[in-house]
Amino acid sequence: MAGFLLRRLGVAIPTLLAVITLSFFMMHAAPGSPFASARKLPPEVERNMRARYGLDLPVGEQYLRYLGGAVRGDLGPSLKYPGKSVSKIIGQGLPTSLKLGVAALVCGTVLGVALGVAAALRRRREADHLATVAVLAGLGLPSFVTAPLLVLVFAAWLGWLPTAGLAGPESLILPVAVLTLPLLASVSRLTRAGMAEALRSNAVRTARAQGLSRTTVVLRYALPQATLPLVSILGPAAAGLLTGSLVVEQLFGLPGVGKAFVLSALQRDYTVVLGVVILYAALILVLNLLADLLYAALDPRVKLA
Amino acid sequence: MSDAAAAAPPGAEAWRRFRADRPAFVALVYVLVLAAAALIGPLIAPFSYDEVIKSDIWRSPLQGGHLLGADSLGRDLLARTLVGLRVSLAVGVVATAVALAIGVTYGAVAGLLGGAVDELMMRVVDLLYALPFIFFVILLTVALGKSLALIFLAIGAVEWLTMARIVRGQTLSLKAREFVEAARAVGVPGGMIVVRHIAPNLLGPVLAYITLTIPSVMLAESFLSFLGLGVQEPLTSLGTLVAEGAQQMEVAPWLLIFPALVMSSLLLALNLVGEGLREALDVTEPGR
Repeated sequence: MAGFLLRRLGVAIPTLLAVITLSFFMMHAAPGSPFASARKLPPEVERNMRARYGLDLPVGEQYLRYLGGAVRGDLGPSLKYPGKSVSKIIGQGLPTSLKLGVAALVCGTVLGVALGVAAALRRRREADHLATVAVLAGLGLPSFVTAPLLVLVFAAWLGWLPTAGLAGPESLILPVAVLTLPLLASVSRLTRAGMAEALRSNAVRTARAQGLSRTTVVLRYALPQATLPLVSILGPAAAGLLTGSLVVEQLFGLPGVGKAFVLSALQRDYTVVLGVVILYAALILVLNLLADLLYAALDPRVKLA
Repeated sequence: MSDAAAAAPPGAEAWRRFRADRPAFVALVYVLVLAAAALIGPLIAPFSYDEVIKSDIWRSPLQGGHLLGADSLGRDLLARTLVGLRVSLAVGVVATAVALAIGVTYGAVAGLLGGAVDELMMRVVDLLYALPFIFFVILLTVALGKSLALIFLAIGAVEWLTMARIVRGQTLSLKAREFVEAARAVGVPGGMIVVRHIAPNLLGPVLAYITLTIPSVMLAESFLSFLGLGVQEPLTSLGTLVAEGAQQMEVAPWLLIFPALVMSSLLLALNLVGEGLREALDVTEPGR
C-alpha cells in the first residue's frame, strides 16, 4: 500500500511540476505587457510596476521564486487588482464553488445510481426509457445550452425560480441542476451496465438460491458490485464539474472561482489564470490518486503491489 | 482489432455496414445538409449577417422577411446562424486537422519505435489525459491573444491525445502482421514499409476518429465563444450566438432557441456518424 502510494506520488508530483513549468513559461512568452491598457503608461511608471511585481528579474529567477511561493500556497499578486493576492481571490471564490460542486456531486451520484438501478431492473420499460433519455440529454447537450434553456423555462416563463444571483437556497437549484445533468447521465449509464452484469453474477445467483428477498439481493449483493466502477469516474467527473462551473457561475452570476477565472482570462490577469489552472490540475491529480486508493480499499480483488 | 477490419480497405464492406445503421446514416445526411447550408446559405440569404436594420430590432420570427427573427441590432438571425454554422464547422475541420497531424505523427512514431520510447511517450499521453484540458486552451488564448487562427491551433493542440493512442495501437498491431514481416523478409526498406503497408491500413480507424474529433472540437470552440474568449464580433459562431441569445432570452427567446437547436442537433448528428463509422470499421480504442 505504502509502496503504491509512493509510486503514484512519484508520478503525480513531476506531472504537477511539468504543468506549472509549462504554464509559467507559456504566460511569459505572451506578447505585450500585462500592464497594457487603453491608456499608455509613462515608461518610468511601467518600469516601476515591473520592478514591483518582480518582472524585471531574469525569467529563471522569476520561475524559481514562483515555484517557491507555490509550494507555500502563495501564488503571487494579481496584476489587475493591486493589493489582492491570487490566493486571496481564489479563497474568496472557493466556498461558493465548493458548495455547488459538492451538491452536484451528491445529487448526480444519488439520482444517477437510483435511475441506473431502476433501469436495470426494468429493462425496456418506462424507467429504462427515462434513463436513456436522461443519458442522451446529459451527454449530448453541453452545459452552456442546458443552462440558458433551463433558465428560460423555469425562471423566465414559469417564474418558479430566480434567474440569477445568490439569494437563498432556491437560487442554487438551477445551477446545481445544470452541473448535475452530465454527471447523472454518466453515473446512470455506468450503474445500469454494472447492475445488469451484477444480476447475472454467481454471488447474486447464490443469494437468490438461498431464498433471500429480492430487496436484500439487490441492495446487499448486487448494488455494491454494480457501483464499484463509479469510483473510477471520480476524476473525470470532477474535471467535468470544474468545466461546467465556468459556465454556470458566469451565467448565474455566482461569485465562485470559475467566474473569477473567466474574468481574469478576459482581462488578461496572467497570475490569476495561472494560479487557477495550477490549482485545478493539482485537484484533478489528487482526486485521481484518491480514486485509485478507494478502488483498492473497496474491491478486495485489487491488490496494490 | 479484428483481422477483417484491418485487412479490408476502408471501402465497400464498411460502407454497406454503415448504410445499414439507420440513425448514423440519417445523421450523415443531416450533417451534409447543414454543411451545404453553411456553404451556400450566406450567399443566397436575403440578408447579410452583419447588416444592421434599425427598424427590425428584436423582430419576431416570420416577420419582416426574417424567417428566424432578428437580434438586438436588427440583424437577421437566419443569416447569422448560417455564418455561425460556417465558422463553427470551419473551426471543427481545421482544428481537427491540427489534432490529426500531431496525433498521427506522435502515435506513429511511438508505435514504430516501440520499446522504452513508446512506453515513455504513452505515459505522457496518459498524464495529459488526466488534466482538465479546456483550462489549457483558455491559458493559450490568454497568452497568445484572441484570433480565429489561434483558436484553431489551441484546440487542435489539446485534442490529439485519442488520435495518438489509436494510431499507436494500430501501428503496433500492424507491425506484427505477416505481410509486414514478409515485406521485411524480402528486403523492403523501412520507409517503404511505412508508406506502402502501414499508412494505408491506418486510414480506416483514423477516419472514424476524425468524425468523433470534429464534434468535440466544435464543443470546445463554442465553449470558449460562450465565455467571450472565442470568435470576435461581427463574425460569429454557434457558441457566440447561444451566449448572446442567453443574455436576451427574456425579450427575444428565439435568439437562444434556434442557435441552441442547430448546435445540439449538429453535435448529436456528428457523434452518431462517428459512432456509426467506428462500428462499421470495427475500431476499438486501445488502452481504455
